[in-house]
Amino acid sequence: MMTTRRNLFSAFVLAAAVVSVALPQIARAQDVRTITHLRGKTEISGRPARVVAMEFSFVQALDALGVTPVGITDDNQPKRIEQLVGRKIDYSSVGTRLEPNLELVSTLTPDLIIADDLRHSAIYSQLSQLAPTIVLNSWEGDYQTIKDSVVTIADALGEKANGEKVIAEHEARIKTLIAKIPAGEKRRFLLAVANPDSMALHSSSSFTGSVFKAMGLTPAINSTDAVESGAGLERLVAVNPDVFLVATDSPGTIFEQWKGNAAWQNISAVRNGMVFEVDRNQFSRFRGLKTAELMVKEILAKVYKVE
Amino acid sequence: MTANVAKAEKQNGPADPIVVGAVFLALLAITVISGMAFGVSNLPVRRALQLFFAPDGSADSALVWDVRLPRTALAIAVGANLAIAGVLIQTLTRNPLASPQTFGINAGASLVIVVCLIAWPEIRGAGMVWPAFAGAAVIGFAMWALSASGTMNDMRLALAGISIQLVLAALVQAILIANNTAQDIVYWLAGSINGAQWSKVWIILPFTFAGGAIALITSRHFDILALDEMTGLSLGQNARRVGGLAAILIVVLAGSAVAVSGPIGFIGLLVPHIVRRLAGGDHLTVLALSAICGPLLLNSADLLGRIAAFPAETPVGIVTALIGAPAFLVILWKQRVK
Repeated sequence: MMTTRRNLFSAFVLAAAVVSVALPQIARAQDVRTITHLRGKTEISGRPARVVAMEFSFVQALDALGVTPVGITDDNQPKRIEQLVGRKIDYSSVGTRLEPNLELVSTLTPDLIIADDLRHSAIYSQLSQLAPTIVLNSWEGDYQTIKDSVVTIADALGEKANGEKVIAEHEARIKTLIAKIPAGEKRRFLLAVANPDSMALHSSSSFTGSVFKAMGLTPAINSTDAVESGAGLERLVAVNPDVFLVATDSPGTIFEQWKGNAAWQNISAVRNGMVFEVDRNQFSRFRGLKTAELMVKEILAKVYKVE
Repeated sequence: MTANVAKAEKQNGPADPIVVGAVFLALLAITVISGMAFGVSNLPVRRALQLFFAPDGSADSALVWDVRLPRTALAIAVGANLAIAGVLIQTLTRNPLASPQTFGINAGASLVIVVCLIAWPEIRGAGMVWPAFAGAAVIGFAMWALSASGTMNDMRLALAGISIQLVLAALVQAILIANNTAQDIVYWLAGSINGAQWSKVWIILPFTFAGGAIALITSRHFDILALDEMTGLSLGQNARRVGGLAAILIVVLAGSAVAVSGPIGFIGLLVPHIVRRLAGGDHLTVLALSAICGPLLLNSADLLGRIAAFPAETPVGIVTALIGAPAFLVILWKQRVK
């Protein structure tokens, strides 16, 4: 009895010793990383090469890191992906962001899935069965969140240092651009998406709003709710932005109808000729580093007339 | 005036239609003035009312006259259209559960509009009226045929209508899911007059006036249409012709309402019941009172929608559904008791 226990004990000690010596080496060989994300922790080994991206911002982050995803929930609009990364890339559509097609995802045999907190948290466990999945906030992510996500994604890919380098380079570029904004800018900026019947106003906590803040500009709406949808003309008049960016992607929006309204003529931005139509994909849908740079450049060109 | 109504209610019989009409008008005037006075901007109520009665060309004045007033005017026109269409469809089908919504006419108009919006996104404003008429007409004809076949009782017909409505709503949803850009019109699909413009008012107003006038002028024919077919025949009525006229009026009134405001439910169902209960009488009375009660109900619902989630606005179609659904259940219950 005693001997058995001692033998067991020594066997245990031996095993523990072996494991403690061998484990770091195995880990180094396979490079297992624990990625902390919004739905918990996910262990990822090696360098994932077959990545499925379920939001536009993730595609942009992967592109910045030099990775082309094998699958994208592209809303069946390949043109949009082409605009997003600036060239034609080879990928498979895995449905819409709202309703990803899990069967298509599984046929791609991915080794990493990047999903959005708001839209895909409910299917996190299903996604995790297909491949290691990390859940990040894209839909309601502000500028800092999107930047952090790039590093997290880089870490998941086994290239954390590269991710940090990409961010540092991006921040340097943004800094040079922002330096061109005249000092003492006090005007209030607003981005709204024009729908057929109303506008969706983006507040200080939206991606655009936080880019405005990073630029030293003042968002016209201060709120913890990123987007105020269904806003009518009266609400817009009440917000009264000094610089107004209207994001459109098709004809026939309320923007065209409001232009003829006397109340519209009294909005500060309208009176001062500071209303600009911008691309809805770039200013509202994509949310990424390149998007932020493009937004800053476009604001510089349109509002301040500097290149 | 209010005392009279109270007295009439005590007697438990229908009140004098003129008194009921006067009360409706007074209440409508109150909602119209409230609609001018309250909004999401911080324009003081007193100043808003001053500007309403004496516009001065200022920014605030534009807010009252070019944002709030067209919205109220749109609520009045849409409310009148839906209420009159509701009376006519209940008469035409001899079914108290009929309405542009329960018989799928609103949904038919919406579906065709959604399809057209995706195919030709530049179609806006007046261009949406024709697809709305087409959708309303197809479903209206189908329901009229079902009703005229005489094989269905009230409840079955209402169920058939609701089934058609569900199918159409599912199709709209399928389109919304398949087509990303279509998701932008979710707000419109809920039924909303938030995006009101004078241009929209001018689109619907001719149909409201023409449809309403024709309905009132020909109202005595609808009195006979409401009776059973044999009686109508023996009274010398060409039921097919009168029924056809009613059907056209329903399609035009409901279709033009959907084109400018999206599918707003329950107004067409409830108003005829409210009016019949309060005043009763022939079609001239019911139609005329409904043309005041519909705007009153829709305007009140819109005011509620402005307050409920301030400063965000609740689409009026959601408010009418929240109020209307329980009322619909009450009507169903009364039907059963009968």
